[in-house]
Amino acid sequence: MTDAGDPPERTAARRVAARKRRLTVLLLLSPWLIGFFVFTLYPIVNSMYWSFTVKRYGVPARWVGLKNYEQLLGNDDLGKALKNTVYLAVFGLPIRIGISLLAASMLARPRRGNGAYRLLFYVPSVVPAVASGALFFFLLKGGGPVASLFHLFGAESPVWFADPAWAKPALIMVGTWALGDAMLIFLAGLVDIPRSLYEAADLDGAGRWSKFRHVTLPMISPVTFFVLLTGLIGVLQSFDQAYVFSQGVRKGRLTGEPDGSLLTYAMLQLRQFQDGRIGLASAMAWVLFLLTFAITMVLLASRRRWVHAASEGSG
Amino acid sequence: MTSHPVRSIAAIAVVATLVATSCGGSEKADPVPQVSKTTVAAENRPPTTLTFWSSFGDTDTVAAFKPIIDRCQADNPWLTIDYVAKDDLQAAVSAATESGDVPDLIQGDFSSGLAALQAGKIVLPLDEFADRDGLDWSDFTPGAEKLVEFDGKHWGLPLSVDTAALFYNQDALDEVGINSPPTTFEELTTAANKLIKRKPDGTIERIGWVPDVGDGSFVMASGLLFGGSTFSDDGKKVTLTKNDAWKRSFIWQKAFYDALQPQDRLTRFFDSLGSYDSSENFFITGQVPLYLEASYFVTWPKRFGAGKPERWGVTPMPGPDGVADAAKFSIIASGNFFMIPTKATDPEASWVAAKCMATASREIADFQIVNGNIPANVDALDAFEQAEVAVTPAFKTFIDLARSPNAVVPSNGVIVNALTDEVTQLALDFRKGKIEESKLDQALADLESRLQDDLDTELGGQ
Amino acid sequence: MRARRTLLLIGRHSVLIGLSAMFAAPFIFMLLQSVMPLDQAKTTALWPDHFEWSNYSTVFDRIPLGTYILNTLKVCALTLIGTVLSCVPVAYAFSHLRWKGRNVVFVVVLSTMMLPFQVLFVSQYQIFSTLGWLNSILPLTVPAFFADAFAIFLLRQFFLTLPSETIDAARVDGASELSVLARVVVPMARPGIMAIAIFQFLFSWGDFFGPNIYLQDERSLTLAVGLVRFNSDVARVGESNLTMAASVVFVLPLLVVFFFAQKVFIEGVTLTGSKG
Repeated sequence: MTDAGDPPERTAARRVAARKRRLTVLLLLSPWLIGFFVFTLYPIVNSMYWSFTVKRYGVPARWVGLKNYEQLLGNDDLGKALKNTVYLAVFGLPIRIGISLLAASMLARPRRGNGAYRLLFYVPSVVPAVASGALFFFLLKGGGPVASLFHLFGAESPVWFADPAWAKPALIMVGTWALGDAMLIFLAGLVDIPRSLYEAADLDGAGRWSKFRHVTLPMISPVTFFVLLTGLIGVLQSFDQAYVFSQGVRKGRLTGEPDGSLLTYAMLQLRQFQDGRIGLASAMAWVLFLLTFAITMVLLASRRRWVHAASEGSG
Repeated sequence: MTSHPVRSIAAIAVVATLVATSCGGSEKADPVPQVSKTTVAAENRPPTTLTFWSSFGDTDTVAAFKPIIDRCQADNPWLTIDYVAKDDLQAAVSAATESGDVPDLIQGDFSSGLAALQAGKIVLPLDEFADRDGLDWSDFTPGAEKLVEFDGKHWGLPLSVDTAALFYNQDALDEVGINSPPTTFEELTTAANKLIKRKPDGTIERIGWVPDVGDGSFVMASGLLFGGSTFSDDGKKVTLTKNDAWKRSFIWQKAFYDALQPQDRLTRFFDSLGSYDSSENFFITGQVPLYLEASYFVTWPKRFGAGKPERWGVTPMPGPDGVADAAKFSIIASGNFFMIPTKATDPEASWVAAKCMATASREIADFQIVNGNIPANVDALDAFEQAEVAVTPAFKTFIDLARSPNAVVPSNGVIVNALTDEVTQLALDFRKGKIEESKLDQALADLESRLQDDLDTELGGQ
Repeated sequence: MRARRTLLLIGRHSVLIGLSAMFAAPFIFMLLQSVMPLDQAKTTALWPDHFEWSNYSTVFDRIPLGTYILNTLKVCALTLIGTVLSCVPVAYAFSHLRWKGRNVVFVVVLSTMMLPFQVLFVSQYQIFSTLGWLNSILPLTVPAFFADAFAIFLLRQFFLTLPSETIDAARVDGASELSVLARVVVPMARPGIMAIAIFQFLFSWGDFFGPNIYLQDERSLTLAVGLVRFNSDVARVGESNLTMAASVVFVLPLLVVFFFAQKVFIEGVTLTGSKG
């Protein structure tokens, strides 16, 4: 880092500054570092170890090498589950991001009534599943309000969660309902955008859509990236909603009915946990980890093209 | 001379991990404690407090359980039982077992998890205690005893059992000229078909009976009805093809669905059924007049029906010999029992507490009258019967089923959940016509061999 | 011209009203069910015959809601403070400082989010057991002081949207990183910080699993556990109106928190005029 022609005092000064900077970094990072070593590292390493063993809680693990992973590769259900999960991600995420961004951008100014609207949009994401589950069954069942609406137009409503073709779209619909937290994040991001940028765009004669595309979107792109990535992790890992609405689950079995259309990776993993097969379940978790990691790396790399970081250092 | 932040972090990481994993949890096998040959006299016992993890969390149930604890503390003045409710008992027990911080006593429904309890050495087998202290297993109903048995040992002391029977809506049966509920498989099929009522356009208004509303929830029980088997008694072999019961059961189930085709009409019918916990319940409205369900459902007509259906009752389901008779056959689907963790600090004290609580018949009867489950203890069951049947005559069938000397309990194996999911899926596929009847034997055999491989891997020579 | 503006206004409001009615429906449904008299709750009627407000006092009588709420508030307050205190410096280190290996460590942080909770919790339990923290709220509160990966990630992204010129200017003035962080970055990043605070509050408020596993004393239980217990009790006797009443009690504070928080960070920012 030193230039050959620098006087010694400047090199020394630079070195001191560099050391000071390193200490500052370590200090700033210290909460996470300590937490990582004390609380996080051991469970992660343990689970990785267990994925190469047959492990049941209460007895020591028994090394079996790659056997668990081999078994996963040969499992048909796994392919089906992954396909379902990918479907939910590919269709559900853009809808979620799109609508929550739209809602946030309509409501980001302190206009009269906006506070109330924001609150109302946020409600579903805090309502416990017991209430929204009951509501959805009431709304969507045969003879219910939605079905009546279809009849008004002379059509028959689909049987939603009992129809293999509609079960996933219905699930996405239900999931989009609870986009309050994504909206909250976008709100916080939009509020941060300096007015001056919009004023400058106005001077250039930009219209609303143009301003959105060239000022808003780039400025909140780091935040959009967060919603995308955490949404992805959420879909890959969670089974909450599929769990509530899948017919093969409501009575306690994890068949992902109808026709396995709601069978998710998380359900398959849950089955192994229920049977106490911790080694196999851990292997499943790590397979999912690798998939998530790979997608994340792709997103991170491509991000340079569409994330605009307003500050120094690459986003 | 540059100290690289990341490099030093990485070095610490490696060291920390090595230290942590070498100190890690129960990676060494702990020896199983020996049961002492003689009982310690009460006077010689120091005051002991036991931590008791129980699955009952809500205030009313806990309050109703308290007299059982009070009684046992009174009988054993040196003993204090500290009741702790754990709503997710399974998770709590798993975590505690792995780290060694187990409670002294557990109560819950682990009826499908006996193989797991044994394989993980999570709880102690109680036979030596029972033999030494003269606990007679006939203090409990035969079904209850079977509930806690696995691999030739008893793993808990039963508290309650759960059983299912056929609810029938006599109003609807009268409509189609059937005077009494079905008592054989054939009568059930006949009644089910007769009860089907459709509108001219094909919309279904009422069906007779289906095993389940398309979610496969009855598949396992129906296999048991035909004498089907899942695991060997020691939990080491998958025994689906021990006989042809599963095949016959699948065919029998499918016939009900075939009579209700086309599928989209049936799906719409199921979709139109009202909320289960309301006056729109399909049994109460008469849309499904024959319904197999557990004993709790007895309270539904009174609670939600407001007088409907007018005439209804409960009758046993037929068994492997084709006839419905509680004395000859019943299924104990699940139940609660007391268990002593292997790593409990003072198993002897835990045993005293468990034995007392499981045999406090008066208090157990009072508790179950509030809680609504059927007691496993024979004396408690007598008292319970007197109280309950006076109020709800229909309950008698359940009590007869619980008492049956020929009660059957689902077998156990460590991959029980995977097996249940897979067998259910097979039944559903067969129902929908994805598998031909001629290929069913092969499909079951293939499934059995796949599951056997899984089981062998998991048990690996234990 | 004015007519057009009015039309747009009406259009905008109708869209918003329509959408927000759909979104608010679950809560309205809950509210209506919660004041239903018992007989009606057993049917599938939508509008109560009369408003049985006493359902709420029944709920408060049946379970120690007051104690549960206090306990939950205690845990929430601690985790909220811990999260903000620990995540701000860490996120800043990832967003506005350049150092070797920064991207690698950040990827490690992200990676810790990619393993599901189920595979990790038993080992975590072991750690807490070794530390002697079982049967206390320590496992629920202390980890929040050590920076959760999600919060770090979110806050870092917010920090990235801040204008670097202002920050650089402060640095050039000779201020230390810590003071730049405290005096320049934090005020500008208030919405983001409030966002992670709200999320942490929400999580701690609704967390059932943690208290179930780590708390033993009845008197220290939180609302989430109390609610589950209450519902299983009530389910036995079909009192769904009480379940909804309890759920409303559970949800209402969250909505209140959200309402005031978003008022502050959307309207507060323009008041102080620190942007633009």
